[in-house]
Amino acid sequence: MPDIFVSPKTTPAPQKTYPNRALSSFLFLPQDVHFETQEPGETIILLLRRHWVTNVFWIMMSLLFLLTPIFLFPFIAMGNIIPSQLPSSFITLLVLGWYLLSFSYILVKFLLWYINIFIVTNERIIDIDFINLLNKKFAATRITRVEDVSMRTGGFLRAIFDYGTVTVQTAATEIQFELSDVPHPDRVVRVINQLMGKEEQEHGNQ
Amino acid sequence: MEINDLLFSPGTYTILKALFICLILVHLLFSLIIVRQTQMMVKMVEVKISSAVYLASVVHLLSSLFVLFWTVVYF
Repeated sequence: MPDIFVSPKTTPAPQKTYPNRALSSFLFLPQDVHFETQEPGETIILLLRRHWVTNVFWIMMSLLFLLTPIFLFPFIAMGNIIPSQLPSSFITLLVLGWYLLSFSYILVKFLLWYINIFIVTNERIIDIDFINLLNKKFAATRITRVEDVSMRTGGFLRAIFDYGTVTVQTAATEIQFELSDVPHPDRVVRVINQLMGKEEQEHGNQ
Repeated sequence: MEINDLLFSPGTYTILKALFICLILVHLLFSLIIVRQTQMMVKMVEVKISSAVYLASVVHLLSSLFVLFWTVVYF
């Protein structure tokens, strides 16, 4: 006799996964990441950087810098713009200097993206900001001190690539964290809210 | 006197070389700062590719040293 009331097998809803590549701007539960002041038992939940789209401008500029001598020098040579008596060492130094400065530009832009990070652990929120290579700002707060988390997004690119600004407000006299141009801001807010709820529960039980 | 003769007279050439060396020395200092900051950052947050990023900053410093050496010797 066939079964009529068979409970349907429930398949779990597919969870959206985020690739944990080293150069990703959204790392969820990263495995091989540690930070200097990490406390025992403290787990990194999120490691965030600015969305990769924010790098497009300087990458295009870098390509332009790298290709300029290749396209420019034949034109200069053909048009006799460089005086014929100009020693070859002078031209070599110009090319070397150009590529050295281009390398510096690429490295600095990459580093400013790579080292500006925002870490959310199960205990704390940590913000490491390099305004430029000489000025660094390190700020951290306990999840228990967070009062409000909000996100702001808007504009054509932000809507298409799903990135925006997340603001974390701590107790009135304390600092406010602002994460500019982070990917999936809604998910970041949700994770921080869940951590806040968990911490409140833990403190309520104590 | 033609402009080229003035530009490439031994005196002008020496001044130009000194100027270029000064500029490269400033760049060298800048490269050292980058290496130092990267070193600090790598210590602060350890990620899989941290060593590669540090290596890139060292290569940048070496490039700066190479250009300085080239200018002193060959320019």
